[in-house]
Amino acid sequence: MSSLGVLTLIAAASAASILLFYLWRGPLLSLKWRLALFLGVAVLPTFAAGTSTVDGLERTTQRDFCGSCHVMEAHYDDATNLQSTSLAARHTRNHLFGENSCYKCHANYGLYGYPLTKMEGMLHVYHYYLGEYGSMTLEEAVGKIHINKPYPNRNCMHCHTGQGTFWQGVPDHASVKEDALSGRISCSSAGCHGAAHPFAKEAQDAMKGSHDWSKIEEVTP
Amino acid sequence: MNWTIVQPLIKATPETWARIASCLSLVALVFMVLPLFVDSPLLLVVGMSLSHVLGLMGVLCFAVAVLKEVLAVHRPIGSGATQNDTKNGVHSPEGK
Repeated sequence: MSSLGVLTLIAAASAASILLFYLWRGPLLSLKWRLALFLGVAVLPTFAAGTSTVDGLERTTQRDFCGSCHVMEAHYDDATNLQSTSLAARHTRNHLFGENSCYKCHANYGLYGYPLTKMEGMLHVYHYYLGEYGSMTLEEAVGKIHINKPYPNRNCMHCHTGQGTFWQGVPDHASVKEDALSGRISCSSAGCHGAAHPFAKEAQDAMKGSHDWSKIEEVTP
Repeated sequence: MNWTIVQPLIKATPETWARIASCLSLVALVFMVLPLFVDSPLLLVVGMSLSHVLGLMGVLCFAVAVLKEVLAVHRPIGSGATQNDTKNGVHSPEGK
């Protein structure tokens, strides 16, 4: 359990002991009890809510959390496969991504990136528990599930800035620089760096019948 | 609106409101702590949402309890009872 989890437990246990004692004794609402209940109802639960929320949100950034839904097992297994050469696996083996590799690549890095990423994550919860994902087999999921919107190149360029001499020295980068910056060509296009997840590519192939990733905007909702 | 349900709440003593607040906060605390032990994405999402809603409702009920106690609006007008007038832990108009 994380240190925030321990803090949550301590605050919750303190608040619960005050509340249970009040419910057990049932005293009048004197000033002493008003202050005690203020601690037990407002102060300590607010602290516990804060720590448990931060702890919970932190857990949602971990790869194990993403892989806990069965429809993500193929993606999870590929990412953690030491023999895999997919983009996801190669980035996961990098310690800067490590246990948070799913989040690091799929997060929104804008000003309100963190809450926006979490809100978009709620769509996954909706699709899984209220949509069709929960009842899909893994084989069905691999064929059907696809990224909600085109993967933004700026997420790649969050680390690979495109400013270095090595990057600019690659002829292909120079020839597609404008298209890559404008999003017309994805870094993970076939012929460039390839799909991040082999399953995602297969799913796209099944939907499109070709590898024309430059027109990905037209096929993804 | 069915006022027969609401009226007992309006007439309830501050202690009743405080008990409601305590129960709501206890349930909220359970939903805060449970995701720490049970590894379930659904419980994490539902727990975080419910704990905030129930906790806020608990605070609101506690605020009602304190307001009723401070303003003494729950006692019959002219009864002469104050918050210190108790008899065996129960509000008593006799003042003992």
